[in-house]
Amino acid sequence: MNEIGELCILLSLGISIYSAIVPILGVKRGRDEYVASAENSLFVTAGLITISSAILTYAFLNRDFSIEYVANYSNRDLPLFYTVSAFWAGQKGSLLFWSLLLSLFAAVVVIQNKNKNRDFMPYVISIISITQCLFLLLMTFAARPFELIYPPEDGSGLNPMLQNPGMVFHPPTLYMGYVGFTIPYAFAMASLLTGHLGDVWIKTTRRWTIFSWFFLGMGNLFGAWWAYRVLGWGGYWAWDPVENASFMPWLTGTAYLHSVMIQERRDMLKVWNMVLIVLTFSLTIFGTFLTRSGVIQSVHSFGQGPVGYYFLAFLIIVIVFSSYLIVSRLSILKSNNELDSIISRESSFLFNNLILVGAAFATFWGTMFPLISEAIKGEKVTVGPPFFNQVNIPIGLALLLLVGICPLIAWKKASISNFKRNFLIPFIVSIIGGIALMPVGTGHLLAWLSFTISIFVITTIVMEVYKGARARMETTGEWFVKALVTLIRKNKRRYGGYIIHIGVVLMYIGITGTSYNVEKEATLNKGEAMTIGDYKLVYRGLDLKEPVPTKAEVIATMDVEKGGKNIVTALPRKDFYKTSEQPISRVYNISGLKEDLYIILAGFPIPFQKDSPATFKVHVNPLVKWLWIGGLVIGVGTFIAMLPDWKGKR
Amino acid sequence: MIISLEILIFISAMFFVGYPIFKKSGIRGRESGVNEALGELIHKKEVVYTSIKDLDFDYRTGKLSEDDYKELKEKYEVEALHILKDIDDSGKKKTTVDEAMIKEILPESAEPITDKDFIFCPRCGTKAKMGDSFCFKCGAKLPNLNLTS
Repeated sequence: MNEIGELCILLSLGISIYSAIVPILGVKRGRDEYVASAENSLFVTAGLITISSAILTYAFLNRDFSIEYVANYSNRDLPLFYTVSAFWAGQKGSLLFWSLLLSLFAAVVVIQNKNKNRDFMPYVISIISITQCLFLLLMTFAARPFELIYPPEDGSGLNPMLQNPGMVFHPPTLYMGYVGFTIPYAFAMASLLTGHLGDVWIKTTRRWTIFSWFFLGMGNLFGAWWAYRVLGWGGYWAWDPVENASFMPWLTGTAYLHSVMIQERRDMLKVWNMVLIVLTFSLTIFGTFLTRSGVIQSVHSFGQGPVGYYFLAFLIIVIVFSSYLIVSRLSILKSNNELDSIISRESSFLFNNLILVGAAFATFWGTMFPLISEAIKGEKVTVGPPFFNQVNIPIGLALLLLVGICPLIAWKKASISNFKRNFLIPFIVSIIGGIALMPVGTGHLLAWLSFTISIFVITTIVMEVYKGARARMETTGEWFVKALVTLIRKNKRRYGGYIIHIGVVLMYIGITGTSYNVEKEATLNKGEAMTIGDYKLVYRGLDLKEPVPTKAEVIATMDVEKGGKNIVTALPRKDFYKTSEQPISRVYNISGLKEDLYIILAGFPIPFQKDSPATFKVHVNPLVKWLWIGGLVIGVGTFIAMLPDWKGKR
Repeated sequence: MIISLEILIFISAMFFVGYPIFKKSGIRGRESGVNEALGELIHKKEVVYTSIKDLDFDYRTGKLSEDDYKELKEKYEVEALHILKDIDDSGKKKTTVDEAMIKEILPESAEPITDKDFIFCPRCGTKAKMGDSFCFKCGAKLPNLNLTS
């Protein structure tokens, strides 16, 4: 079957080259059938890559170790769940998965634009096809997913760290975000190429942008959750270069999502929006380059190889091509409109953009500094979390403050008196909240500031929603709940956005909790106890289990007491896989809204004995759960913001 | 078996890709006939309408003072009026300017206002009664905008 998989990739490459060229010829020669043929090409490519992906999945399920990729990332004992997710565990499979997503998204775009944006479509098809060619070229020459080897008895197995539900969700969500940004980018370039520079391309791709932004954010969040549960160091974000690489396009994507609103409302910032979407798309490619080139040490690296340099070459092409197009259209991209007032929603959006892009730049600088220092000084200077925290925390707090201020300001022209009046209640509430939080602020000024600003932001959002509903009640005579529901239904984007903002505030609260993390390490004999925070942990001994033939588990039993009461029996463990020399710590996490008690079995003497002493690392991590809850709330907000407007379909 | 499947996939793919060319169907022809100037006007109109809706919402939620609201609203209404007139002039559609504007820019809650009620002065934006010949504020000649009548 692998021959069919290879053929489908090769055929897709040929067809993608065809669909990159033919629609442009169609435009030049006025031949609509060429464009229609290119559209069919996208469907065919989607079909062929789906066949390839199905064949690879079948090979995994069928334990076909004659395929090198299958032999390297699975073995006979791998559970079904992880056998399927092994598809994207390595470089070759993830390239195929990326290509699959792009081909499916492209097919959806063709369906969506069957009867609209016909002038854009030839260019959109061409740009998507060129991007697709990159992945297909790689899979044809540099990283063949169906490469054959002499079949071993059994495969090497999947890295035990990847055998976690987080691994099933983290890469696909992240890839959906990465790939999704190709669509707004393609429309932006089509708009430049056709010279139709209104906001049609923005409106057409609005849902794609929110979709990609959401999945990119969720990809990062799933990655954080995975790191927290699997890596066992007590944290979820380490400013690893590849984490940064997926954080940067999220930041510029967020800036873009906000700045397009100004173009839609004021017909301004056309150049800036183009720059932002090019930057976001380029950063997604840059992130892929970092992961796959091995130029920077990272936990995510796929190792050194030529693949990264294909992405670098593509990145350079994208930047040069896009910059040329923007510069050549500068005269018609310029807006005739100006800001009516410096105190207006528009200007607050501009500040928000500057802050977001500033954060992206700071992160970029920190990520690239080891390379820059090596190039200049000849030695790699590593930039660690202190740099990123020092730079990004003040930027993040300023951004949070703006999330609160923006809704208080009117579009166009906000008067100082109105601003003061709207500002008064949130200001008083946050002052009261700030005073109440003084005890937790001692020695943690930035954390206190973050909590206080969070109170301010939540108050402004609640007030904004209430005022909107009240204004509707006054004009329509509807009762409050009906007015509120109708208001949200009629302004899904605005109120979906506010819900997203609430989710962001909850995430800030979760992140701020890090300031109060407590950590303790102790070696305990059986029956001995350690205390941390309000908890007392009594070590009851070790146990050995073999739930599956490939894995042995050493489980420690600890009674956890709080306030003199036994609240739970914790079972932190270490897993020993036959396929891996390194044991994997399985954290026992007792998660609550106030804090997480995070217990790691750090070590014990070998050979195993039930009564051996054991070393434990225990963390009390306050408020972490709010980070994940914030993610869920953002999901709800995004869903509302993306809901179609049914009004026109009645 | 594998070779037959490969041939089948190859032929099917080629057929599906090449079909529109052999059929020479001008599928869903491009919008080359669309008047670009008109498209630009419609875009401008939407921008102004959104601005007016935002103004209205910001005023009703207490973010704009009455003076600023009135000043900005009049400014955008005049702008809307000019754009609508330009759209009408471009011959796309013979609509009653006021009808279109009333339908699209006024809050849903507002009482329906017929085209008999008012027009705006193109120079200063002041509201005037339909049928008036001159603006009572600045004296400018008021256009006869009821194109359908």
